[in-house]
Formats: sequence, C-alpha cells, structure tokens
Amino acid sequence: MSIKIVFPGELVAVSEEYMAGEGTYEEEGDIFAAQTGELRLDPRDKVARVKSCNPPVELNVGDIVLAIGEGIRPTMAVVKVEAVEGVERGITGETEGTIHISKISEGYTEDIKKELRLGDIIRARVIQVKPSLQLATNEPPLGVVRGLCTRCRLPLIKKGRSLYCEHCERSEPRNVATVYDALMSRGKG
Amino acid sequence: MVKKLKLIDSKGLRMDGRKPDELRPIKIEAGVLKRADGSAYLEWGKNKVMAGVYGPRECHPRHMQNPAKAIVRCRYNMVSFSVDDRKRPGPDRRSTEISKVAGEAFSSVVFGEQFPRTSIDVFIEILQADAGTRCAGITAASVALADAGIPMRDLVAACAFGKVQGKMVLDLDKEEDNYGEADVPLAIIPRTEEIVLLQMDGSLTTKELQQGLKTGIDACKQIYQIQKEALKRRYAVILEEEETTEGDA
Repeated sequence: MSIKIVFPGELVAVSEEYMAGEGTYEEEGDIFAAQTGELRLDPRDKVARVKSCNPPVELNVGDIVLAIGEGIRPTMAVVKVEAVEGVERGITGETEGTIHISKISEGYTEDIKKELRLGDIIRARVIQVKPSLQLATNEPPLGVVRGLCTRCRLPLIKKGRSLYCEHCERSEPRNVATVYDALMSRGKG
Repeated sequence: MVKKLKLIDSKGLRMDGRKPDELRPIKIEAGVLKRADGSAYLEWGKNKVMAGVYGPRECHPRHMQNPAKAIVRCRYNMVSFSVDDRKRPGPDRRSTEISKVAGEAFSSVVFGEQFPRTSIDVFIEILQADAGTRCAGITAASVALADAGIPMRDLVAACAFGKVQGKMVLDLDKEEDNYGEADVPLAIIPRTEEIVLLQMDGSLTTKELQQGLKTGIDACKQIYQIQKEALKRRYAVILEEEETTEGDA
C-alpha cells in the first residue's frame, strides 16, 4: 500500500464515512488533518488517523524515563523528569514526579536517603500519569544511574552494591541500577 | 534636488522587474535546526528568516500557564546585522508588537486543548531584512510549527500588499515600502480564507483595500503551496532516515 502524506488543513475524509481520530479534526462534516504525517484510514473501525512524523512526547504508563532527584521527603522523593529513554525530544506536560517510599527499591526502605540523594540521575518507570505523575524504581535495571558524592559532589563509581567516591575515599548507599556503568559512560543523555 | 524615485516604469513594471501582482521568489526548508523541536529557514527575495519552535513544554513562569490549554508565545527578533544601519539589539516597540500579533495569529490555528499547562514557544529570527519580514516570519514559523508536529487547523500563510505611486501592488520590497503610500501585511488560513492578521501602514480607500485583499489572498494560497512542498521534502528525508536505521538494526 502506498503511503499518503497529508498536511495540516488537508481534507482526509468525510464524517459520514469515518470518525476523526488522532491527528485529525472535524469541521462541518469534513475531516481534516491536524498534523503532518501519514494518513491511516482504518476500514474496520472507520477511524481516520494521521500518524505524525514528529509527535510531541507525552508520558505514558510503562515508559522508562530519566529523572533528577529534586527533593527528599520522609515518605516520598520528588524528581524532575528530563527525558524518555531513547527519545531526544523534550517532554510535553507535567515533568515533576514523585516516587513513594514503597516503590523506591525492591526491598523494604527504612530511609529514602539511603536509596536516592539530591542531584542524582535515576532511571525510573512511569506507573501513573493522572492525576499526578508517579514513578517507581523497584526493579533491578532501575534506580540511580549517576550518583553524586554528598560531600564533594563529584560523580560516584559503582562498587559492589553501593557507590564509592574516589576523592573522599568513602562509600555511600544507593539503590544502584544494574545499568549504572553503561549509562555513566554516556553521560547525562 | 534628488530626482524622484521611479518605482513603477511606463510599462507598469516595478523596479526589480516584477509585475504589480507578482511575488518575490520564495524558498523554504524545513527541519534545519537540530536541537529545536521544529524549525524552518526561509528566503523571500532578499529576506532571510530562521524560525524555531519548542514545545509543547512545561510553561515557565507558572502563572502564565493556562489549565485548559497550551499558550503560544512568540518572539520576533531582528538580528543587529539584518539591516543597513546596525539595529540596536534587543526587543523594541516594533518587535514587541510583531511578536504579539504573530503569536495571536498562531493561537487561532493551534489546538492547544490537547496540552494543558504547557507553552509552545515560537522564535522568529530575521537574519536579513528587505520589507515584509513579519509576513516572511509568520510563513516560516508556521512551517516550523507543522515540522514540530503540533496539531493545528491549517498552516498560516502571510503576504503583504500595498499602494505604490497610486497603484495596488503585491509583496512590497524595501524601496516600495519606504516610498510607497501604503503597506498592508495579511495572514490567512488558506483553506477557509479566515484572516488571522491584518495591519495597515498608510492609507487606502475601501475599494483599494478590497482589491488588495483579493490579490493578497490569492498570493497567500501560492505561498501555502510552497510551504507544503517544503514539508513534503522534509518528510521524505525523515522516511529515508528511518529506513536506514531500520536497515542497521
């Protein structure tokens, strides 16, 4: 099947035949494209959609994201979501998320400060988008992917199950992601 | 005494050889900036314009957020070397006004309801100016908005018309703008012919304005085709990139 590319404002279907789906809008009985992209007319459900070639990035439940620790509270951590993993474009909408103490690590967490500190970059999964953004790091590949020393603020290296500062010669507890080193070498991302 | 500038010759042609209802050559390229979500570069006669779009992204300062929809913010800026005499950098009365009216033109086409509390930031940089820069800027920014994948009713196409030595002409250049009697920038939604921007510098009779609007709208439709061509080329490039990455994997 040949691909049909449509532009905003282009007539793609009529409302007698199709419903206006994503990337389209209806006006006076006609359906027009709202985005530049590929036209997809669903013959079974009778929905006209336009698949955008550069859609805005919206967070969905299940997405793996990279976030920075912004606040530590007794029962939750506040983080700022910076990017969806593997996507260069910035995020549309709410970027401030929270991680409840019960979702921060796989086991029981006594103290959040032993799992995550301010300025750390974490890899997390989105578990709720509305009404508020909730994240979780209770899986082995999730957790801190770049930790900073609380004393000298230099990046820490992974040593066993915790992180170690070569400058201060001391180690710090964290919920370290299994992919810590792999992501460290790539930087912030 | 300096001889009066002859803007229209005996054959009815203009200084650059154009007919009264002829546009200057326009060239648009979409997707020129790597870090912007959407971008476009436009050359319109001697005008050179770069437009970048960011967002929809979280709106700062927060008090500007609209809980019901995305806001469109626009900044029109002329770089210091865009005109003969150095333009003092920074916002001034003129560019603040153009930013406002251009932003309002885009607000009327963008579907902001899908992205509450966010802002869509449009930046228009005039690199080289030769009259009609606000129309050139709006035309470029509208391509950039479409390149950014922002849902909208239609592209916005803009063009100016005016009166020079008693004759109605389309798309004034710098001399015509400076020594002519009127300059009317116009931006429309091509499909419905709704007017989203109309300003006037100088004076016209009602009849002249109506005649000008007619040629202006036709010109905007021509520009609309050029905008679509630019997006088509952009899409072809994206498809190619996708194919090569899929081939690698």
